[in-house]
Amino acid sequence: MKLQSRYEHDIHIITVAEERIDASAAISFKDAMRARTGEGPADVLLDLSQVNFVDSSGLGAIVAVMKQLGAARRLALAGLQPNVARVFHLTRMDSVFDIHEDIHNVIPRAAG
Amino acid sequence: MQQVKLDTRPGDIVDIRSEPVDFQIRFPANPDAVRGAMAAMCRKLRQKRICSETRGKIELAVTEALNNIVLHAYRGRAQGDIELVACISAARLSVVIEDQGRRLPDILLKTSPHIPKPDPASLPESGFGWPMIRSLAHDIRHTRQDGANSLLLEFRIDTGQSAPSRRKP
Repeated sequence: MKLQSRYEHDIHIITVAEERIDASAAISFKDAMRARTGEGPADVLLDLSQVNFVDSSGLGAIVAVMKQLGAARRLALAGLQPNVARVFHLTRMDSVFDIHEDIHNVIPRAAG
Repeated sequence: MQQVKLDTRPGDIVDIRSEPVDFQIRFPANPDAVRGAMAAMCRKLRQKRICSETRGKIELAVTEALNNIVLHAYRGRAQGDIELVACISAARLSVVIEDQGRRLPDILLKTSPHIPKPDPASLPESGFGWPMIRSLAHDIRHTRQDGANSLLLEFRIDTGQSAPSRRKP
């Protein structure tokens, strides 16, 4: 599972550099996220803009990551493609997650 | 809302093979093989000019049905196969999925498609599959015969080739 981390405005932005978080990738996604978020800023922003498919296993893994972060930290999501947004909508998980259209709605674009 | 077009009786194995088969694949019941089979099926749906939104819904529902077989029907078994057959017409896609695993519990077929608003204090990490299948598929039928599950999922499709006077429900 390819993840890319960067830090802006004290937010840990994790970009999923994969097209799918499905049953075959869910465990490695969860493990890779756990390894990256063991410590660090309270706010984690998961950039899903490159992901075009999430199934129930992938959704379960994202929920597990949020629970692992604990009450003092927050997981927000950004860049959901229509197929991914559908899963959050059908399961009503869009009522639980803080979902942004684009990471730039959260992180101001750097000047220049 | 149930639109039964196929000539089947309760107890019969659902058989769409009297219709022209557009896609057929047999693969071992594991997550990597499910991913590969779905990629091949989605290529076929794209070739058939099924729009991206409909493809996305079909991909999600069929993947969930296949995941369910891998996780539950064949749980604890060293190996097992899944066969997937798809027939596409101008107005619908019929997918039949067969496995030789445990019987698909009838209760799943009656799962409510409406998931209650999750409680943030105790979020579920599973149990999303069947409610999503129920909301995405237009018709669902299951038969069990000779130790095999046969699950039919039907979807309404628009291949872009139907009459221009197509009405929305």
